[in-house]
Amino acid sequence: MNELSNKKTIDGSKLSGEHYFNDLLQQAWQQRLLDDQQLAEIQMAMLQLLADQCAAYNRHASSSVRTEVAESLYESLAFTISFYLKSLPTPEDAVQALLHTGLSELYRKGQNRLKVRFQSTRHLWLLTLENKLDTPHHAYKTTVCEGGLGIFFENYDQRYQAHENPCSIDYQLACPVNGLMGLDFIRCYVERLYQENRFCQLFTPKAVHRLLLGYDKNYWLLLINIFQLVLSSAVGCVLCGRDPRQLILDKKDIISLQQKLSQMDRVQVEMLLRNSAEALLDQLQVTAAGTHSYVLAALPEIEMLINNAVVNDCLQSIILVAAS
Amino acid sequence: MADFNKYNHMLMLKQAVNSIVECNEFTKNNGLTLTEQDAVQLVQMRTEALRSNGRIEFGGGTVNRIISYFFDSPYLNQENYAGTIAELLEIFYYYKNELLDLLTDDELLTIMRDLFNGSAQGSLALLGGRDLYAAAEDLRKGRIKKEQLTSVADEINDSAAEDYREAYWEEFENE
Repeated sequence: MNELSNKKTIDGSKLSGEHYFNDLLQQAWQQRLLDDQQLAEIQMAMLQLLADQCAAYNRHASSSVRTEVAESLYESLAFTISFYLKSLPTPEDAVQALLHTGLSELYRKGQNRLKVRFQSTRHLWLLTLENKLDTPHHAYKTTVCEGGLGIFFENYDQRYQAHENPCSIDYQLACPVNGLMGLDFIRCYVERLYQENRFCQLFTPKAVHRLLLGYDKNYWLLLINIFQLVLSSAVGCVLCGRDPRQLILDKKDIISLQQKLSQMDRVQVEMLLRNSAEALLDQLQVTAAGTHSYVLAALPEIEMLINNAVVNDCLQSIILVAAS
Repeated sequence: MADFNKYNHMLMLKQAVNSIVECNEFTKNNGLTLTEQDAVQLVQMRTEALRSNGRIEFGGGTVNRIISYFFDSPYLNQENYAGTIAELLEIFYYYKNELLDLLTDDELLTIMRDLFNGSAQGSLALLGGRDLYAAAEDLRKGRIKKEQLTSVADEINDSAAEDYREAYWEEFENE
């Protein structure tokens, strides 16, 4: 027990999702979980792995590569090894794996995990396509319907560019994906998009279209997030005692809501919005845990926007009045 | 760790130098040899050529390979041997980039040797500045495919011979 409590630990929050391998080595060295010699050995093993990767990339026919190619191959190796290391229970376990398992073996394990994750992500993407929104929104259509993201599953190069996202994503999520790259990024993006679609499918395309026309008559050209505007307006409907499925509020509703919220402090507004969101989820009979937690995760941003809108007297830009 | 890296670097340098000096075994019949100091300089030139052309190489061997392709050239002698190999190193890495890595080491070296011994007549300036430039331009612009490069080298050699013949006859007629 004493030994356990004396164990030096790595602060997992300081390990970035994008550069996990390098951060782990740095943290482990700082915490003295690795000494100079061990660190040098791991770095040399990584260089050897990179040399093998470069040779394979050149099909053993060229002895040199451009620096940017070598850097990209290194990133890909580090990403794949990190993909396995991240799956271990703790960063300390990851350090033990680095010390006692060869890097090439860790790379192989990472590749196997990537292969499985790629297949499951593709399956999730197909499910997302099945519940895609019927909307004229340009960025949404190019990303989801017209192959902007889908092309990833044809172009992803797991061997040499595992850290890259060979696709085009224009549509911004309510909870943007930060600090991830490669398949990690795409998986997270697709998961979130899937939940946004699921929530928006609870409303008719016509109701959503009418609502967004209330935001701007050319809303399909704007880089807006449909889910966020639908959610904030649906919460507004709950606050005004309207049917959230219809997404219909009038200007009087917004004025009275503005008056009501302006008499509260920030914390009270946040509390009210949270309770309204819970009530909304009950009314819409959202039972799926993923959608439920995604709505709650998106709420802080909406709370902040509403609080600011109340102060600036522009609540109508967050809680929308549907076009007639 | 700094010591470890330094030791490792020294070891790799020593290995590279030794392997270059070993090439004397087959080049000495052509009257070409490199001293250990030449070899050290060539290793340094290789590092510099890689750096200036933005490339990375794992393991050595490129200097040896260039020697093996060029040691029997009629344009090499003991005087210009080390200097020519150093220049060829720079040209080699430069054209690896210019040819967009489409050619393997052996393919590029074959073309370089054919042009050096042919139309360039041992001139490194003509090899790097004219003949390889023309071949790279053709390849980049899609005028030829990679497989045709060897025949392009032949054509360049033929056209250089043609130019020479024309110049000779012009001179002859003027006389």
